[in-house]
Amino acid sequence: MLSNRKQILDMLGEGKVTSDEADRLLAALGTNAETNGGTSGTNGKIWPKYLRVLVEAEEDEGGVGDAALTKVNIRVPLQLLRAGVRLASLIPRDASDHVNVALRAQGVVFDINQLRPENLEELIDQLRDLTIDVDHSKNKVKVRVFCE
Amino acid sequence: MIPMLADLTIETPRRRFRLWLPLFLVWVLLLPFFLVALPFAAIACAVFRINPFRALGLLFALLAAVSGTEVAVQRRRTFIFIRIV
Repeated sequence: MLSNRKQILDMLGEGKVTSDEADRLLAALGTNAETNGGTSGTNGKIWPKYLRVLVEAEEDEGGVGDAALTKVNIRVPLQLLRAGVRLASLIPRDASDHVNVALRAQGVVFDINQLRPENLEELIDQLRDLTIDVDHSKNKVKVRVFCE
Repeated sequence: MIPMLADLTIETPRRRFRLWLPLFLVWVLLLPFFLVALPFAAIACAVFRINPFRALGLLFALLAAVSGTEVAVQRRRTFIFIRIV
């Protein structure tokens, strides 16, 4: 692992790669170390391994005070997201353009051609400290999304 | 490694049972369909200029990444839990 890091730094020193490319390579190296059993990234960061989605919904069932609480707890490995994004890179350009048009028609302005593994690493890095809480008081639904 | 087992737990006030589902049997059962689909997939890869070995590798990686997925649903006193191992 150390020899790989040294090799990247040597390549940077020789000008074979730019500082951005070296940064990505080091980040990828850290991710590989994490998937091989470790949890620490290049800067000693703890990399999240799972995406957790918690949903709590309370449904009224007619009578006063007669409510059923439904809880859903989903744990998705972030490795699955990475694999999905890599697979998405195989989507032909024409097909991805169709997807973009369909997304735009639904009000989602997003270019799936920009969905690349290196961008996903940045996203996951940001998700590490992010928790999304949705509390819909009218329908009594609580959604919580976070990485762990 | 593609997932080989699924752990299913169902709990009700009256009973609780846990079932280990052998997913490797599902893969074996799907193998003939996979072999039938292979030539069509190869043609599609040739048409869209996709490296079939890369596609196969990525598909395998996607399957392998499913391991560790957990889904738990609880409603009233009924609890269902599925874990892919």
